[in-house]
Amino acid sequence: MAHLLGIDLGTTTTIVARIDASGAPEVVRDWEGLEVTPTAVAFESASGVVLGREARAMADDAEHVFTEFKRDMGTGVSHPAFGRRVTPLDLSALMLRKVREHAEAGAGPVDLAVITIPANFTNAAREATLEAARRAGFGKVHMINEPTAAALAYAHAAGGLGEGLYAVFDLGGGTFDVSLVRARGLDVEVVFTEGVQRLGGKDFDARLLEIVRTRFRDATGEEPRPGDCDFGRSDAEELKHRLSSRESVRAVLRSAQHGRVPVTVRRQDLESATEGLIAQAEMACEGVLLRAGVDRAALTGVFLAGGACRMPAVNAAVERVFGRKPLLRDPDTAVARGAALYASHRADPALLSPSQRRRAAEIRFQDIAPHYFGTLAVDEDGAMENSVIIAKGEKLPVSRTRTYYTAEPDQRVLTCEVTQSAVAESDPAMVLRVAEVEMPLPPGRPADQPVEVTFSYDLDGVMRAEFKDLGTGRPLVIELKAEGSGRGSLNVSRIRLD
Amino acid sequence: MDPFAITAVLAPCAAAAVWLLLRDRRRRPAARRTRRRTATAPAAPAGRSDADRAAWTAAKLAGVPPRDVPRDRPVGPILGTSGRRRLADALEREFGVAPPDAEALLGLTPVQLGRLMRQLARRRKEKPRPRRRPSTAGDVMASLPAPLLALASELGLRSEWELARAREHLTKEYLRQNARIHLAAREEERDAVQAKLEAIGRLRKALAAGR
Repeated sequence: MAHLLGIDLGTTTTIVARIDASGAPEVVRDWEGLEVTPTAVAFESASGVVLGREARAMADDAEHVFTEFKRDMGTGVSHPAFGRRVTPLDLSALMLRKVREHAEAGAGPVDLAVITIPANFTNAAREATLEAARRAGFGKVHMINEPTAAALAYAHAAGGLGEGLYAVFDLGGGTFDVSLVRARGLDVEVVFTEGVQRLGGKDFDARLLEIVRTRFRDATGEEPRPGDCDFGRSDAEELKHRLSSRESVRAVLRSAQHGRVPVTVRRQDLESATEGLIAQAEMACEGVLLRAGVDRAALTGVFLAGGACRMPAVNAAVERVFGRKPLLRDPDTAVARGAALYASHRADPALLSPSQRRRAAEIRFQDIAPHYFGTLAVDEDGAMENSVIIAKGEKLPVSRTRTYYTAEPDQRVLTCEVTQSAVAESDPAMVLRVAEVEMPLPPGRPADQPVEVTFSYDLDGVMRAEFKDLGTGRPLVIELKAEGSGRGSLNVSRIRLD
Repeated sequence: MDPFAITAVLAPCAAAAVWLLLRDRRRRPAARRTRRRTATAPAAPAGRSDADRAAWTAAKLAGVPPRDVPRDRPVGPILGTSGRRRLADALEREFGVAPPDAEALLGLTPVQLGRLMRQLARRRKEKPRPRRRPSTAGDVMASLPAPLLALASELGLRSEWELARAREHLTKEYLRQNARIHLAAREEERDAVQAKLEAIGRLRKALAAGR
């Protein structure tokens, strides 16, 4: 029997699922016996590391405690910790290593792990996640977008979905994604997806914390100070959970100076404070329908994933925007269970037990390009523009070729750039330049030499760009890896758009 | 030479010379040709459009000719970051109504600034109407707080649009702004993008009232 893991490495929590002997996904309890593990890393010394719940408990008052680092994956962010700097990649690798060691202690070496990522993760963030998994000691790793994994989990839980178009609304701890999927049974095809990188339960917690601070100030006439008032983010999160089932809740803040300070927060207060956040999720949902050219009346069902979906205001917003009541089933673990199912789909069938193989054979899966990829070119008027080669929403694997021409006689250098954007942009200032390499050209040639540009995007989300000067037949290949996916400089491209 | 022709040419010249000598200099002073530097921008010439008046105001503050202020580019780069308060004051003098002292002001083009100031002026003039269900973006914009109104102008919301169209436009703008978070290299820039996204969310909430 193959040991297959699905890992939902979330902004605030990490959940792991595995495929059992029958081929069904089951949640793996962590080293403390619980299903949900806080994504938190604390350094006690240069070599002493604490993870999960224990680290989270230290988060409100310790200096070397790191949480929510997923939001900074693939960026240049790093933090000091006992004389060295740690990156989100390092911290993710530590979490994943602990997860792997715990899983292997119970069931032997992991054959394949699937890690979930937000749908709008940049290429750099995707590669950083893969690199973190490699550093954590996982041999074979794949990735899947979180809402897509949730769709697989819902399909499996329902014993296969009726043929139709479904929306998956995934409001996690730190990121928000919405996907449209076409499904029949366990055959899931992603149609389009949108995401907001910084929208999740923790933003709601922050608003609630602000409300509580205001109440404290109203009651005592003073600002709550660290060290005096002990109400932190984890308390705000707990209060938010209570507000999901009650109209108003009472919390008692303990202050060294003022003693016990009772505060009351109504659900309506939280909803007023977070209406800007919920409206963002609504716009992303409308955006996904708009871009996919789908009317909401065409939807067969709506699924919810992510713990933040338990909030009544979020539920109401989903119903408002999609025009139908959403289905909420194990929102915390749906993504991890879906990832485990995807692992069984991607695993070598020879490794699977007959039951696992039978279940895995039922799964069909079709993913899409998560971003627009293009290159910079100058148009007939000499203005630089972003020329899209692979469009977001194209089915994977995809390979597209476009021909461009050199702009000047005796052009010696071709600047080959790869751009990425979440919307179809022609403005070069609005796209992320993920790679830039100069290709030397032979001297003495007239302008208008053809250059064939081929972009390919595989099932694991690895982008490959090939720039081929047809005159010499010499190609320049750019493969986007974590090490080389820094921001490009602002050099003007010398490729002319056909 | 014909004496008639000589008289016809010389007579008007003589009359003009006499008028120049005898005219009342106190009533018609010679135009001042020297340029005075003032701390405040002078009023724009009458008869200009709102966009031209906004461009004129920005131009005078920056000390450049009004024709050098593009109508479709934000005024921020011309004025610099310290120009926000000065621009707000100058626009108030020009249009007679106070604009929001918001960072968004510098991100607006003269056309958008003109539209914003017209909205603000109209709002001040209009008597409070009995509450009715809003049907156009303008109905909603009439009651928006000034910073959100400035944002609506920046995002190109038109007051005459039906609410459904305005919401769709806002959704597209939201997705465009959302994509910018990947371009922000520094934490402060990412925070700024996030704050703007939330402001768009509040704007959307206001537009949803007429659903």
